Amino acid sequence: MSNCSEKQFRNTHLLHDKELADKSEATLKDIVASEKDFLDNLGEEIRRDTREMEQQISFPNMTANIMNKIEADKSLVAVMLDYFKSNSLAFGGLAACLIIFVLALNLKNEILEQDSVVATDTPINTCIIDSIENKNSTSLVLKEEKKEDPVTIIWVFENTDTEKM
Amino acid sequence: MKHFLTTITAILILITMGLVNSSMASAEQVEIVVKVVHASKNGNEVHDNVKELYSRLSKMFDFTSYKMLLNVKEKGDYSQKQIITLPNNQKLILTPIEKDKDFHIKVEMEIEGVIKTDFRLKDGGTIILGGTKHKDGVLILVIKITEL
Repeated sequence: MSNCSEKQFRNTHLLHDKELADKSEATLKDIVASEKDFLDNLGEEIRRDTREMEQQISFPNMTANIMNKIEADKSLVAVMLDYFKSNSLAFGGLAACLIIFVLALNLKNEILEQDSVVATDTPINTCIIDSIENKNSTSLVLKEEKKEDPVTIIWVFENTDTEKM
Repeated sequence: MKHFLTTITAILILITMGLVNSSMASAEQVEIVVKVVHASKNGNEVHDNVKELYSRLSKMFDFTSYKMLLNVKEKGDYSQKQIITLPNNQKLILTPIEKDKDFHIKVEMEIEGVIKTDFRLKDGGTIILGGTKHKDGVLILVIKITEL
Protein backbone atom coordinates (compact mmCIF):
# COMPACT_ATOMS: atom_id res chain seq x y z
CA MET A 1 0.00 0.00 0.00
CA SER A 2 2.58 2.19 0.99
CA ASN A 3 4.54 1.41 -2.21
CA CYS A 4 1.44 1.77 -4.25
CA SER A 5 0.49 4.89 -2.44
CA GLU A 6 3.93 6.33 -2.90
CA LYS A 7 3.90 5.48 -6.56
CA GLN A 8 0.45 6.88 -6.86
CA PHE A 9 1.54 9.94 -5.01
CA ARG A 10 4.50 10.42 -7.33
CA ASN A 11 2.28 9.95 -10.38
CA THR A 12 -0.13 12.43 -9.03
CA HIS A 13 2.65 14.93 -8.45
CA LEU A 14 4.15 14.36 -11.83
CA LEU A 15 0.75 14.84 -13.41
CA HIS A 16 0.26 17.95 -11.45
CA ASP A 17 3.68 19.27 -12.45
CA LYS A 18 2.98 18.49 -16.09
CA GLU A 19 -0.31 20.29 -15.94
CA LEU A 20 1.39 23.21 -14.39
CA ALA A 21 4.08 23.14 -17.01
CA ASP A 22 1.51 22.93 -19.81
CA LYS A 23 -0.40 25.79 -18.36
CA SER A 24 2.75 27.85 -18.02
CA GLU A 25 3.76 27.08 -21.57
CA ALA A 26 0.32 28.10 -22.83
CA THR A 27 0.43 31.26 -20.84
CA LEU A 28 3.90 32.10 -22.11
CA LYS A 29 2.81 31.42 -25.68
CA ASP A 30 -0.17 33.73 -25.19
CA ILE A 31 2.04 36.42 -23.75
CA VAL A 32 4.56 36.08 -26.60
CA ALA A 33 1.79 36.15 -29.20
CA SER A 34 0.26 39.15 -27.58
CA GLU A 35 3.61 40.97 -27.43
CA LYS A 36 4.32 40.02 -31.04
CA ASP A 37 0.98 41.51 -32.12
CA PHE A 38 1.72 44.65 -30.14
CA LEU A 39 5.17 44.99 -31.65
CA ASP A 40 3.82 44.32 -35.13
CA ASN A 41 1.17 47.02 -34.68
CA LEU A 42 3.72 49.42 -33.24
CA GLY A 43 6.06 48.83 -36.15
CA GLU A 44 3.28 49.38 -38.65
CA GLU A 45 2.25 52.56 -36.87
CA ILE A 46 5.81 53.91 -36.89
CA ARG A 47 6.20 53.15 -40.59
CA ARG A 48 2.89 54.87 -41.35
CA ASP A 49 3.84 57.95 -39.35
CA THR A 50 7.21 58.10 -41.06
CA ARG A 51 5.58 57.98 -44.51
CA GLU A 52 3.16 60.75 -43.55
CA MET A 53 5.98 62.92 -42.22
CA GLU A 54 7.99 62.39 -45.37
CA GLN A 55 5.01 63.40 -47.52
CA GLN A 56 4.30 66.50 -45.43
CA ILE A 57 7.85 67.80 -45.20
CA SER A 58 9.13 66.60 -48.54
CA PHE A 59 12.57 68.07 -48.03
CA PRO A 60 14.06 66.01 -50.78
CA ASN A 61 11.64 67.54 -53.29
CA MET A 62 12.35 71.10 -52.16
CA THR A 63 16.06 70.59 -52.39
CA ALA A 64 15.65 69.17 -55.83
CA ASN A 65 13.61 72.19 -56.96
CA ILE A 66 16.17 74.66 -55.64
CA MET A 67 18.96 72.79 -57.28
CA ASN A 68 17.04 72.82 -60.56
CA LYS A 69 16.57 76.63 -60.34
CA ILE A 70 20.23 77.19 -59.58
CA GLU A 71 21.14 75.06 -62.55
CA ALA A 72 18.72 77.04 -64.74
CA ASP A 73 20.18 80.36 -63.54
CA LYS A 74 23.68 79.13 -64.14
CA SER A 75 22.63 78.22 -67.66
CA LEU A 76 21.12 81.69 -68.20
CA VAL A 77 24.25 83.44 -66.95
CA ALA A 78 26.34 81.23 -69.16
CA VAL A 79 24.15 82.07 -72.15
CA MET A 80 24.40 85.82 -71.37
CA LEU A 81 28.16 85.63 -70.97
CA ASP A 82 28.43 83.81 -74.27
CA TYR A 83 26.28 86.50 -75.89
CA PHE A 84 28.37 89.35 -74.49
CA LYS A 85 31.56 87.60 -75.51
CA SER A 86 30.39 86.98 -79.02
CA ASN A 87 28.74 90.43 -79.32
CA SER A 88 31.24 92.57 -77.43
CA LEU A 89 31.18 95.21 -80.16
CA ALA A 90 27.40 95.51 -80.05
CA PHE A 91 27.45 95.57 -76.28
CA GLY A 92 30.13 98.27 -76.24
CA GLY A 93 28.12 100.31 -78.72
CA LEU A 94 25.04 100.03 -76.58
CA ALA A 95 26.95 101.13 -73.48
CA ALA A 96 28.42 104.07 -75.38
CA CYS A 97 24.95 105.12 -76.54
CA LEU A 98 23.70 105.00 -72.96
CA ILE A 99 26.59 107.13 -71.72
CA ILE A 100 26.03 109.69 -74.50
CA PHE A 101 22.31 109.79 -73.66
CA VAL A 102 23.01 110.46 -69.97
CA LEU A 103 25.59 113.15 -70.83
CA ALA A 104 23.13 114.78 -73.22
CA LEU A 105 20.47 114.87 -70.48
CA ASN A 106 22.91 116.52 -68.07
CA LEU A 107 23.94 119.03 -70.71
CA LYS A 108 20.31 119.85 -71.42
CA ASN A 109 19.67 120.46 -67.72
CA GLU A 110 22.69 122.71 -67.51
CA ILE A 111 21.49 124.71 -70.49
CA LEU A 112 18.04 125.09 -68.92
CA GLU A 113 19.54 126.15 -65.61
CA GLN A 114 21.58 128.84 -67.33
CA ASP A 115 18.37 130.82 -67.81
CA SER A 116 18.39 131.53 -64.11
CA VAL A 117 22.11 132.05 -63.64
CA VAL A 118 22.81 134.81 -61.15
CA ALA A 119 26.01 136.84 -61.29
CA THR A 120 28.04 136.52 -58.12
CA ASP A 121 27.93 140.21 -57.29
CA THR A 122 24.19 140.67 -57.68
CA PRO A 123 21.38 139.99 -55.23
CA ILE A 124 20.77 136.32 -54.55
CA ASN A 125 17.65 134.44 -55.62
CA THR A 126 17.19 136.72 -58.60
CA CYS A 127 17.70 136.41 -62.32
CA ILE A 128 18.93 139.09 -64.71
CA ILE A 129 16.30 140.10 -67.22
CA ASP A 130 17.86 143.26 -68.63
CA SER A 131 20.60 145.82 -68.15
CA ILE A 132 20.61 149.61 -68.34
CA GLU A 133 23.73 151.51 -69.40
CA ASN A 134 24.19 155.03 -68.08
CA LYS A 135 26.93 157.62 -68.21
CA ASN A 136 28.34 156.88 -64.77
CA SER A 137 26.81 153.54 -63.93
CA THR A 138 25.49 150.24 -65.13
CA SER A 139 22.24 148.85 -63.79
CA LEU A 140 20.95 145.32 -63.90
CA VAL A 141 17.24 144.60 -64.01
CA LEU A 142 16.57 141.58 -61.84
CA LYS A 143 13.55 139.51 -61.01
CA GLU A 144 12.94 137.31 -58.01
CA GLU A 145 13.17 133.63 -58.76
CA LYS A 146 10.49 131.06 -57.98
CA LYS A 147 7.90 133.62 -56.94
CA GLU A 148 4.33 133.84 -58.12
CA ASP A 149 4.42 137.63 -57.80
CA PRO A 150 8.07 138.48 -58.40
CA VAL A 151 9.29 141.98 -57.62
CA THR A 152 11.48 143.62 -60.23
CA ILE A 153 14.72 145.05 -58.86
CA ILE A 154 16.97 147.55 -60.60
CA TRP A 155 20.42 147.33 -59.07
CA VAL A 156 22.81 150.19 -59.77
CA PHE A 157 26.54 149.62 -60.05
CA GLU A 158 28.27 152.96 -59.97
CA ASN A 159 31.42 153.01 -62.06
CA THR A 160 33.55 153.86 -59.04
CA ASP A 161 32.02 151.03 -57.07
CA THR A 162 34.27 148.01 -57.22
CA GLU A 163 33.09 146.73 -53.88
CA LYS A 164 31.15 143.50 -54.03
CA MET A 165 27.86 143.22 -52.26
CA MET B 1 -39.71 149.16 -85.70
CA LYS B 2 -40.02 149.43 -81.93
CA HIS B 3 -37.36 146.74 -81.49
CA PHE B 4 -35.00 148.63 -83.84
CA LEU B 5 -35.36 151.87 -81.86
CA THR B 6 -34.67 150.04 -78.58
CA THR B 7 -31.46 148.62 -80.02
CA ILE B 8 -30.27 152.02 -81.27
CA THR B 9 -31.00 153.60 -77.87
CA ALA B 10 -29.02 150.90 -76.07
CA ILE B 11 -26.03 151.40 -78.39
CA LEU B 12 -26.12 155.19 -77.82
CA ILE B 13 -26.22 154.69 -74.04
CA LEU B 14 -23.20 152.38 -74.22
CA ILE B 15 -21.23 154.84 -76.38
CA THR B 16 -22.05 157.70 -73.96
CA MET B 17 -20.92 155.58 -70.97
CA GLY B 18 -17.67 154.79 -72.77
CA LEU B 19 -16.97 158.47 -73.47
CA VAL B 20 -17.71 159.43 -69.86
CA ASN B 21 -15.48 156.64 -68.59
CA SER B 22 -12.55 157.64 -70.82
CA SER B 23 -12.84 161.30 -69.80
CA MET B 24 -12.87 160.21 -66.14
CA ALA B 25 -9.83 158.01 -66.69
CA SER B 26 -7.79 160.88 -68.05
CA ALA B 27 -8.48 162.74 -64.82
CA GLU B 28 -7.14 159.92 -62.61
CA GLN B 29 -4.41 160.68 -60.17
CA VAL B 30 -1.45 158.53 -59.34
CA GLU B 31 -0.10 157.86 -55.88
CA ILE B 32 3.61 157.21 -55.52
CA VAL B 33 4.99 155.77 -52.28
CA VAL B 34 8.76 155.64 -51.86
CA LYS B 35 10.38 153.92 -48.88
CA VAL B 36 14.09 154.55 -48.57
CA VAL B 37 15.97 151.87 -46.66
CA HIS B 38 19.63 152.02 -45.69
CA ALA B 39 21.11 148.54 -45.88
CA SER B 40 24.56 147.65 -44.63
CA LYS B 41 26.63 144.78 -43.33
CA ASN B 42 27.50 146.77 -40.24
CA GLY B 43 25.43 145.54 -37.26
CA ASN B 44 22.25 143.49 -37.04
CA GLU B 45 19.66 146.19 -36.49
CA VAL B 46 16.36 145.87 -38.35
CA HIS B 47 13.90 148.71 -37.79
CA ASP B 48 10.33 147.75 -36.87
CA ASN B 49 8.92 149.66 -39.85
CA VAL B 50 11.19 147.68 -42.19
CA LYS B 51 10.34 144.22 -40.86
CA GLU B 52 7.50 143.97 -43.37
CA LEU B 53 10.05 144.39 -46.12
CA TYR B 54 12.84 142.55 -44.35
CA SER B 55 11.30 139.11 -44.80
CA ARG B 56 11.41 139.68 -48.55
CA LEU B 57 14.62 141.69 -48.83
CA SER B 58 16.66 139.33 -46.66
CA LYS B 59 16.14 136.55 -49.20
CA MET B 60 17.60 138.73 -51.94
CA PHE B 61 20.33 140.71 -50.19
CA ASP B 62 22.99 139.62 -47.76
CA PHE B 63 22.93 142.78 -45.70
CA THR B 64 22.51 142.39 -41.96
CA SER B 65 21.21 145.84 -41.03
CA TYR B 66 18.09 147.52 -42.45
CA LYS B 67 17.04 151.00 -41.35
CA MET B 68 14.13 153.00 -42.77
CA LEU B 69 15.40 156.51 -43.49
CA LEU B 70 12.47 157.94 -45.43
CA ASN B 71 8.83 157.13 -46.20
CA VAL B 72 7.33 159.52 -48.74
CA LYS B 73 3.84 159.50 -50.26
CA GLU B 74 3.13 161.80 -53.21
CA LYS B 75 0.01 162.27 -55.36
CA GLY B 76 -0.13 163.81 -58.79
CA ASP B 77 -1.55 163.64 -62.28
CA TYR B 78 -0.14 161.66 -65.14
CA SER B 79 2.87 163.43 -66.72
CA GLN B 80 3.47 165.34 -63.49
CA LYS B 81 7.01 164.94 -62.15
CA GLN B 82 7.47 163.89 -58.54
CA ILE B 83 10.88 164.86 -57.12
CA ILE B 84 12.08 163.19 -53.95
CA THR B 85 15.36 164.15 -52.31
CA LEU B 86 17.20 161.10 -51.08
CA PRO B 87 19.32 160.94 -47.87
CA ASN B 88 22.51 161.03 -49.98
CA ASN B 89 21.21 164.28 -51.53
CA GLN B 90 20.57 162.71 -54.90
CA LYS B 91 17.18 163.49 -56.43
CA LEU B 92 14.81 160.76 -57.52
CA ILE B 93 12.47 161.95 -60.26
CA LEU B 94 9.41 159.81 -61.01
CA THR B 95 6.95 160.67 -63.77
CA PRO B 96 3.91 158.46 -64.39
CA ILE B 97 3.22 158.72 -68.13
CA GLU B 98 0.10 156.74 -68.87
CA LYS B 99 -1.92 153.67 -68.12
CA ASP B 100 -2.02 151.30 -71.06
CA LYS B 101 -4.74 148.92 -72.22
CA ASP B 102 -3.22 146.13 -70.10
CA PHE B 103 -3.72 148.28 -66.97
CA HIS B 104 0.03 148.80 -66.56
CA ILE B 105 1.34 152.22 -65.63
CA LYS B 106 4.30 153.49 -67.63
CA VAL B 107 6.72 155.46 -65.45
CA GLU B 108 9.88 157.41 -66.20
CA MET B 109 12.51 157.28 -63.48
CA GLU B 110 15.73 159.23 -63.09
CA ILE B 111 18.43 159.80 -60.53
CA GLU B 112 20.67 162.37 -62.11
CA GLY B 113 24.05 160.96 -63.07
CA VAL B 114 23.09 157.48 -61.94
CA ILE B 115 20.14 156.14 -63.88
CA LYS B 116 17.55 157.21 -66.40
CA THR B 117 15.04 154.70 -67.62
CA ASP B 118 11.35 153.93 -67.90
CA PHE B 119 9.33 150.88 -66.95
CA ARG B 120 5.81 149.54 -67.01
CA LEU B 121 4.38 148.47 -63.68
CA LYS B 122 1.15 146.72 -62.80
CA ASP B 123 -1.30 149.12 -61.11
CA GLY B 124 -0.47 148.87 -57.40
CA GLY B 125 2.79 147.10 -58.13
CA THR B 126 6.18 147.60 -56.55
CA ILE B 127 9.66 148.01 -57.99
CA ILE B 128 12.92 148.12 -56.06
CA LEU B 129 15.82 150.36 -57.00
CA GLY B 130 19.00 149.73 -55.07
CA GLY B 131 22.73 149.98 -55.15
CA THR B 132 23.49 153.68 -54.76
CA LYS B 133 26.08 154.16 -52.04
CA HIS B 134 25.28 155.79 -48.77
CA LYS B 135 27.64 155.87 -45.77
CA ASP B 136 28.82 152.30 -45.05
CA GLY B 137 26.10 150.66 -47.13
CA VAL B 138 23.62 151.23 -49.93
CA LEU B 139 20.20 152.76 -50.36
CA ILE B 140 17.32 150.52 -51.34
CA LEU B 141 14.27 152.36 -52.67
CA VAL B 142 10.97 150.52 -52.59
CA ILE B 143 8.66 152.29 -55.02
CA LYS B 144 4.92 151.54 -55.18
CA ILE B 145 2.71 153.16 -57.80
CA THR B 146 -1.09 153.09 -57.71
CA GLU B 147 -3.74 154.82 -59.77
CA LEU B 148 -6.31 156.46 -57.47
